[in-house]
Amino acid sequence: MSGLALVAAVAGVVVDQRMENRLSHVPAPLRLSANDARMLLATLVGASITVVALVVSLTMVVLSLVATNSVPGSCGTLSVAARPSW
Amino acid sequence: MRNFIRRRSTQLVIGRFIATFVFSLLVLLSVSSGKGETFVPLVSTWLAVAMVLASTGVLVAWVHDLAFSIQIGNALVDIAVDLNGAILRRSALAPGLLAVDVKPCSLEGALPVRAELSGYVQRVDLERLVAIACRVDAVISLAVREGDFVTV
Repeated sequence: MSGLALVAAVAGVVVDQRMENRLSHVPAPLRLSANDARMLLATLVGASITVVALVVSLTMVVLSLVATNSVPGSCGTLSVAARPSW
Repeated sequence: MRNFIRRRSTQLVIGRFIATFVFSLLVLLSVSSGKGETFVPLVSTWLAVAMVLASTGVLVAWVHDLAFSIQIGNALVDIAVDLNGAILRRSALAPGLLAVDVKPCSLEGALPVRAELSGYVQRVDLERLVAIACRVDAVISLAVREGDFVTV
């Protein structure tokens, strides 16, 4: 998925370069200065990586919570009474 | 536990956000403003915003999926599905297992096979046990299962 994003980013920038002259008629709310674009993209970059860290951490927390309930032998203790006595 | 690691939704949400990160970072690098020429990739920037919005939707779905999956009832359903799959795989490996008439057998004259070391039973080679039982025409009764702790 990251490779796809990489290709998409390169293609997007190439498209932007080719359409640079045509984009002068973009509606005002969508128009961005270089500083605006930089700030917006920097925010997106920071937010994306923060969410990735959050998702990984939450998955680890859930894993540790579930792991405490399923340890080796937790099911086996139910069959102790049925074991034959040698 | 394996289910949580393999869970498609977790992989999807991490993948989407990493893709958004890579995309935004590369577009950010292409923004240039100098004395001579200023380049703002408008389409790519708004595409990055759209990607973040789409990823946020996936994140909400993932939170729902996670909350749903850690409920004990749903975890038990997952375990039952895994167990059924494991039984089917085992029975395919050792067909003799299903052919045995399951009746409590007498242990008189039985020969106990004791563990040489203390520890958890990690694996029971059912295929090999069935082959041995067929070869010597005997009944093997398992006193422990995988995951049990045995002491010498």
